[in-house]
Amino acid sequence: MPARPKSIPRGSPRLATFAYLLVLPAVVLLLGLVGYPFFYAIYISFTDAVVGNPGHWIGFGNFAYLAQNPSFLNSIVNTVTLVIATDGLKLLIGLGLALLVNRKFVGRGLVRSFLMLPWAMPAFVVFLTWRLLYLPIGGGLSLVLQGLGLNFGIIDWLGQRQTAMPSVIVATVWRGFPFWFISLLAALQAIPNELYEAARVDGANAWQRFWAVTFPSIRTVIIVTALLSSIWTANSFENVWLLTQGGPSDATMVFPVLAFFGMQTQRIGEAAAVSVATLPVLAILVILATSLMHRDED
Amino acid sequence: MHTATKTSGLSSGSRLWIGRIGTFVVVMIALLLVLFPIYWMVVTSLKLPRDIYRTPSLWPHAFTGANYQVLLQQKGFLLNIGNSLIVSLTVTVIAVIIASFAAYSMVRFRYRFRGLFGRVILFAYLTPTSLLFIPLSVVMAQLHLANSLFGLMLVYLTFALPLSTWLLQGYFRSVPRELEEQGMIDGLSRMGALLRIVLPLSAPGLAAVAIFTFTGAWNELLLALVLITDPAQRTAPLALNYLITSDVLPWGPLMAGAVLSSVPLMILYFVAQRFMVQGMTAGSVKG
Repeated sequence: MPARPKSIPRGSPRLATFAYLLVLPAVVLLLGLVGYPFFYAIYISFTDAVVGNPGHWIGFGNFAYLAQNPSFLNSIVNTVTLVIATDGLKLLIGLGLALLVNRKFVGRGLVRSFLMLPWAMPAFVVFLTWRLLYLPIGGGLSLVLQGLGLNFGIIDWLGQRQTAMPSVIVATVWRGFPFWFISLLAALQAIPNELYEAARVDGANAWQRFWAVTFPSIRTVIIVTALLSSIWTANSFENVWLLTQGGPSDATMVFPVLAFFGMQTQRIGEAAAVSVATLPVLAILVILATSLMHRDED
Repeated sequence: MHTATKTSGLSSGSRLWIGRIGTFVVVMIALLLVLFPIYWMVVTSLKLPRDIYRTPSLWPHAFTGANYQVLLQQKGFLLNIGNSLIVSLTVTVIAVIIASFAAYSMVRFRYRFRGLFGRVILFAYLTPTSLLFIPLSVVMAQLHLANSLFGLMLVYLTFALPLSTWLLQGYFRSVPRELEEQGMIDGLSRMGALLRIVLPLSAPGLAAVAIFTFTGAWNELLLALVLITDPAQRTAPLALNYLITSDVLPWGPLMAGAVLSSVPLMILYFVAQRFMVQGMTAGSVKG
């Protein structure tokens, strides 16, 4: 139980000044570097600004344009697909492995370390490597499949509409599952053994023990991890940018990449609108996450 | 889960063995799936071009250091690594110092707006770069800081500062305040208590936060892509990104760059793993 923070008593202005001075640099920097750009992004999304020209207020013009832009609509569908598919898989794989590694066996610590490696690799390295693995000729994936006797012929994994999105999903899951695995493993290890013993005495089998003891204990962790992971995946740029740049013909286009392309055409009002359009959903996820994560003793 | 066999009448001993073998098999498959891409990255960086494209195989016919030579000598990758190091180290030092003060203030004192500040930091932590990169590039251009490593350091604080403040709060909270009070009775000032007692006691936490912050800056691509145009200012991820814009991708040198920019980090994570895991779970998820 952490000690409660000391209330600054009336009549100790020095302590109060000290407390404010300590927190001030961080707050000022964040207001300037995050707060101001955040509202500025919203503002320019309502203008026809281009690089070097602040433009004019055009109301919902950019959003009306996006609402009938097939690339944008595609990017929203793809982003939602990517988030749901990757987080579903990350939960299954992360939880499965966490349950296994939570059992005692020789070399458990080493296994845990190795399973964390994809998370320790920079995202740009991971997705460059996967692009190489997906090469139709000489790519590691084709070689392995051939070695296993599964000869599909030459498949351009990232270059065909049907396989491009699944390929992006697999690479994204590979990079992201360790975060789920570690979070869930830590949650599992925090469950007191007595709870399991009590359940065992009551005659609960493993399946019943999971739903009666394990699941309720890790539910909050699952929710917070899902929220964080969704926010990060929905906004990730490197995976699609380095694997496919949104292709072939928008099959893997997601909104951060679309906003980046918009930025390159210099129409920053329109490009900002791409990200701002997703803000309502993002805001809900962020508010849910903060309310679960905010640790305030008050 | 493993007692699906319960009704089949197996003895508890054989059920235990089936469970163990099952665990072993699944863990081995998971390890193979995790390690193969890493193996492929390393081995490709050591392959001759003909072994990459024309006669691909799981084990190279010959090993070569030529890809590293091309990357370092022709592409000048050391300059990019240097840029990345300067930016990431500076961001880490600045972020950890400012974040230590802020986190200490919010953990130890109660005052108006404290809760609000805490939420601002959490919101900033969760505000994605994909939303901020456009306005940040406009602002940096107005400040004449686009295309400079200094500007890059400044915008990297947008994620480094909230992340480190958020994580440090967790570590500082676990330092018993009695130790600080004892120190102040012995004549330390508040600041002295922070510097001489709280920070040293949080050393593992500080190390973990520094590694997370460093990694975040080291890995960043989108902001660098938007802000930096001068080839001499490119960071490591940016330099590799520009290697793939050509028609034929130079996979040997690319993977050599991937190895050079990831293996030191992976070793660091492996060594400091215990602190990192603590930080990851304490920081992201309320216990």
